[in-house]
Amino acid sequence: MTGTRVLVTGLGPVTGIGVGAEDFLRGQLTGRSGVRRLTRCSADGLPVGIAGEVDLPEHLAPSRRQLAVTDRLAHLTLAAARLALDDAGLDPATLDRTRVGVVVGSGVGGMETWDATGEAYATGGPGAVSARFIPRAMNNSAAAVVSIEYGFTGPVGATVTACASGADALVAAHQMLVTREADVVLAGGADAPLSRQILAGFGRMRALSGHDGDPAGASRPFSADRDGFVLAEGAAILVLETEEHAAARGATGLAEFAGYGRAADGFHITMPQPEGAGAARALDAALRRARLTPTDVSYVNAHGTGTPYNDAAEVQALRTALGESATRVPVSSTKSQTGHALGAAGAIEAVASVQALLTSTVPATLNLDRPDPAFGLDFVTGEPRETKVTAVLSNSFAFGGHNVVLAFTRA
Amino acid sequence: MNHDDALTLVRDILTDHLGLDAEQIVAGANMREDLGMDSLDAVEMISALEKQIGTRLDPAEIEAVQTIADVVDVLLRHSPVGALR
Repeated sequence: MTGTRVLVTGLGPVTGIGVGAEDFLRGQLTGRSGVRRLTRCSADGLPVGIAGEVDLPEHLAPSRRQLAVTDRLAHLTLAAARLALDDAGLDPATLDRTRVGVVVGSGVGGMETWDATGEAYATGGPGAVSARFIPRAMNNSAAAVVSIEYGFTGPVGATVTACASGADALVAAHQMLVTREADVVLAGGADAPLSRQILAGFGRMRALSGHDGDPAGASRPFSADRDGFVLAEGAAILVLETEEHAAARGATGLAEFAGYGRAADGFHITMPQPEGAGAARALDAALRRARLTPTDVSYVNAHGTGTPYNDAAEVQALRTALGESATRVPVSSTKSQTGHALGAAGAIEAVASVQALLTSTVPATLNLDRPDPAFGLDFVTGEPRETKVTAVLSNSFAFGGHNVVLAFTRA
Repeated sequence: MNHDDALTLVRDILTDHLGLDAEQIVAGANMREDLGMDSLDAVEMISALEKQIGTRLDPAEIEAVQTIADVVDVLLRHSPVGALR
């Protein structure tokens, strides 16, 4: 099938280092950290007391009604969708809304609601469970609230592949566009996982950083002293359009979403395959689909969680897939600044990847004074690096062994 | 409980549990058309009312409820004379 080109025409990031494209870019380039002492839930008795948290500005904050009937997952997603539509210059009223799709990935769904329902059930029994429990908590509520808010009635769905959910949502959207199932898709990811149960769960797995100094120093991808990731909330929606649809309204696009690659580890439910074999195959597939060679790649936005295992396997995968180019390509991790927003991460990092193309600047990895000596890649640290950026790979590797790589090129 | 007490109670339930605007909750307001309430809102409202009056409401009685005034009537019918909130 000869597919159309898929363009990114709008960016809607909602993160602890910036809300909206401009603020998020400034946050990346000025080395902000979104990690702070936990306020979304009580840290009493939890193994960690820090997280990446988002402050929604007043004009994007949920109404009293929205607070009563939807989860924070929906609030973050709606803010991201509003920002993305504005950034794209799209007025929903002017669109054929039956041709607009929505795909939003979420790793864990409406966790605030799960926590509150667990407590209500424990004290009041089945009769204390809210009639809103299921619609607030279900992972696909994020996509559904966007569809309902704007009346977008093309294909609407959700992806659930843990930390690759956001990247997988973009893949699903790409497929909708090249198969002409839709002309425009709002796609991305969202997670609001700052729940006591989730923090306890990741803590019990020993996946979280135990760093107890300045919260901003806790997320340390690729560092010799990395000790786990920092959980974060966040969302990002990107507006994707067929080239024809964008051209018809005079939009040139911010970047081309040139391709993607996916492959699974088939190895362990949480541990990455140590050589990063699945990740390497995903990288290779993304290059092929985007018609790129390793020498074309000007930046890798890494999955880079800061867990000992992920970062080691990711470096191996990059070495395998990029060969001699691996040590030449600048690499950085957005999670060093935002923390790890699970299903939102892939979409947030897609935004960062597009912005690297737009600004020809690679943001620096925070807290990377001493890269793991075993790694030997060209990590961007300290200050952002100005360099010619023409093709970017964005990695998302998830619990479950799901590996998704997105490729963006200049529009 | 008199009529005003009952209306205040309904208003409190709908603002606290459903996040509706207090000033919209007037006796003549139709819950579906004027307040935008759906079936899930109705379940939440009925649970809160039942908790308040300490008894299960008859489904047929609930079926007939359309306006805030109807809810106030239900509340008054089931509240012991002279009982306060």
